[in-house]
Amino acid sequence: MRIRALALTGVMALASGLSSCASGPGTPLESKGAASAVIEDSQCASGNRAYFGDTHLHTALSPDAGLAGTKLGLEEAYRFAKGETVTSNSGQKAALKRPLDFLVVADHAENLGLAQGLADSDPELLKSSLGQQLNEMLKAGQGREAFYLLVQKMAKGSEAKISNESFMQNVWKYNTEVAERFNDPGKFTALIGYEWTSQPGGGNLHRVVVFRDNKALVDQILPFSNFDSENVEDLWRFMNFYEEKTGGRVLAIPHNGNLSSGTMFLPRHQKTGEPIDADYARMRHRFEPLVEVTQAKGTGETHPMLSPEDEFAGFNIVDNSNLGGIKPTTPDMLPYEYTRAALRRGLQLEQQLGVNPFKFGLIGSTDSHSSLPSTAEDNWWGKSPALEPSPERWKDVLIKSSKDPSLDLTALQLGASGLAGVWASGNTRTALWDAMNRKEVFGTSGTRLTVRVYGGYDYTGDELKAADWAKRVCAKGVPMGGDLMAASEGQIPSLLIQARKDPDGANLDRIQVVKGWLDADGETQEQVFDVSWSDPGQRKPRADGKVPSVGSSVNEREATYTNTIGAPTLTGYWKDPAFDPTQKAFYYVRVLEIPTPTWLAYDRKNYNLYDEMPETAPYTSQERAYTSPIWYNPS
Amino acid sequence: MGWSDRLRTLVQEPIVPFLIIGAGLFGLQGVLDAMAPKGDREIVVSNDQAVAMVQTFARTWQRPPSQQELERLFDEHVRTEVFVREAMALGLDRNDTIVRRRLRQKMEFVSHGEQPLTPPSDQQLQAHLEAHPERFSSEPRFSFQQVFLDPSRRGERLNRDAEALVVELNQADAAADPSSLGDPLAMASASWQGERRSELLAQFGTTFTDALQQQPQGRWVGPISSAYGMHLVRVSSITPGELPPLDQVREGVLRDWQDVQRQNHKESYYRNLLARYSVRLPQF
Repeated sequence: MRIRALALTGVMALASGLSSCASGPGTPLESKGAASAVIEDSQCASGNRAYFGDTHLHTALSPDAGLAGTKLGLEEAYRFAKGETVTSNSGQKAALKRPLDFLVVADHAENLGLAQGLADSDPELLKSSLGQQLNEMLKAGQGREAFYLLVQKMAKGSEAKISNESFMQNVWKYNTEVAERFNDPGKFTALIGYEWTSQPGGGNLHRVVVFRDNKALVDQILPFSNFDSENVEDLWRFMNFYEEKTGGRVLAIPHNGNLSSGTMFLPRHQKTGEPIDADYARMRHRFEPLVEVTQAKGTGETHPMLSPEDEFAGFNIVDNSNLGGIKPTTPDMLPYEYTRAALRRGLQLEQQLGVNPFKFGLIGSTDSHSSLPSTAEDNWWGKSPALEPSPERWKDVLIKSSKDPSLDLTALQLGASGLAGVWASGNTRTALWDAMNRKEVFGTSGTRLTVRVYGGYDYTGDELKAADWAKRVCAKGVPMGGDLMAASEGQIPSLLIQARKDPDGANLDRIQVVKGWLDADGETQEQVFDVSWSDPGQRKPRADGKVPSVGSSVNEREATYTNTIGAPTLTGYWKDPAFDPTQKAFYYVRVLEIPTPTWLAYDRKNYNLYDEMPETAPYTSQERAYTSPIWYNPS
Repeated sequence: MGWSDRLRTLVQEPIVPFLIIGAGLFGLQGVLDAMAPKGDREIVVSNDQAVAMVQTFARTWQRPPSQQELERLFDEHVRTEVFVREAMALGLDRNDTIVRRRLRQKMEFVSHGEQPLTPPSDQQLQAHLEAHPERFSSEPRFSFQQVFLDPSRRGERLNRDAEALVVELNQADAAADPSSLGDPLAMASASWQGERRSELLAQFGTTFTDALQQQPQGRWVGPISSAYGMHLVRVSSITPGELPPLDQVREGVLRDWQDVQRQNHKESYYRNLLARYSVRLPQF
């Protein structure tokens, strides 16, 4: 209680101090030497192993999950992630085929622990009239309705507040205690985190907040929630406060720009609507090194309308409206919802402000709300308890629109996505967090395909012939997430890329490089290059430079595929064919698998739903991975 | 309406919101007076109860209550007691879903609490450990070296190359570094020391890991296949998985033992109670 009061006072003091000089330079929020010294590892710090994990899992402690029927809590979540068999919310035996290396339980800070508290009729919660209302709905077996109601209230900020600080304190300490118990350095890492759930008017601005530190530090604060402020700048102030108070480190990961009504990457102050300034850019740059580019509720790399030349842009697009189906999406919103467009805009903003606010790496995660982080199409435990395997789940409505049934978020739109791949020096909190902070990470749509990239000026491509090439080249370039120094006369950047398939999964179709740059007129451009692909003898690039489709071995009806097409590994050496040393640019790698059946195809086959399920649905997809970019800055 | 919906409708009871109950209570003061029980009109807050209230308060707020707060705690307690007694006298506790569910929870909690408090003996835990080797055995560990050969690079040459390379490797100094030989495979190290089986499954896939287990030790052999291509391997040791001593896995065994006991106990507690009843169900 006392700690909480202190934290809030501190934040409010900062907040008020800042709002009075919002555009003034030299706020106390700039990165400080002490804090940033920790993170700058050498370029060869990344080790030889990509760790796979989920940074975004909800358990029964998340109020929406708890109300919607999630019974499994923290312990089950960790045990499942570590590969143990648990009994699912619907009473089925559930296990991953392969354990995760790490997990961030990111329960919603707002009303953390609500469902259990309501089930216990905790008097603290029943002091709120909404608490009473939900309590009654829950006890009448109307958990789902209670969940919809809460989602709607969340769009109105603190109207949804039921919990209080003493209740929160207990739940938070329980959360950190269990994380501590399951954290097993070297084998399995339980990073401590939570979700800040801001969605003004339904525009999804959610951030997962991830701490580098252990319980002793993290227990000194309580999660800063949407009830404290729905303004992301206040969240950053809180994060800054945490770092100053404890000497710890913390980062935030936005997700689902696709459901944000064009606000996630809108370069405007949330509160005033004024264009962002250098302070904003510095804060965002510092505290948000990553974006969750893919998860169950859609993929946010780019949209076909934003990237009409990119034939693979339409992957897992979920964008009819914002969160809760409150406001339909219109084309003018799209440039502010997707990561590629934001990475481009970042170059422009850096030109204007001196700092790039959208300089982020890419990961994937599940956002599962059932305590079961799973992403395999043939072993998908769903996004919520109602989406656990059953013959009915394909008909489920995850989030009902309060306005218009056509804006419902339905099961048919969901993907069994995604995972975070982290090139860390070891499987520990600090090593993983540092790698995330330096953006040496990639996101996948759920597959465990691995991709590595280095960029530099001295590479020839021969390096890739050595089995231990990464170790040899790291000193001469930068890994994903890094910055290329300004090119001197005649230097042209090149990329060394290697991808290998998920050892239990599908072969690879191709490696691509996505380049974005700021041209001489101050406009941003993008281009996608095919770099390496399977069967190069048969698949010759067409006149437009694009490599023909890999084809498909999928039998949708039987939900099968074979690795008779594609390649188990691909390597690529790519030298920018249109490099202009005076222009800002970024390069990231996208790797595509061959087509494979989706969870819908497996359900249709396993439950024999041929007569019920629609003739056409996304039964096939090309799973993929996205690396963090490497940036080029001429100055 | 699906089968489960119909069932839900059947078992669902009408919900009377608290507010309506409350309004009813205040409006029916006269009726209440008439119906209130004659005896048992004394409400006593004992010292023990008071201490418990103070302790609960202190746990939540990290300080003892003030005089005023203490009075409010007493007032709340008395108020609740009065309403509960009057509500029960009116029979409001019957046919109320919330109350029924709460009572069921309490009974389940009681059954939970009835478990023997004595922790299991080491013998019991040891027996549980031995009964479930699949849950507690350590993983086999592998020490080996490998050289990758990429079929897409070598095509038909691969088997010839492999044979030649095996000979070359076996002739070379055993300590020679094979990491510069063969084809690149992202992050697949040449040397692995005491690596867990699960890690090999994650890195090379099932085929390779299973094959590795079958290879002779101490010399280069192969090729064996993986998800990625072919590998020459030299296994130096394989430590089989074994049942660890109880002390190393005590926490997990205890948790698992408790889970099993709880489940068994909960079920048998219910079965014992159920045995006192005869149950008739409608025919669907």
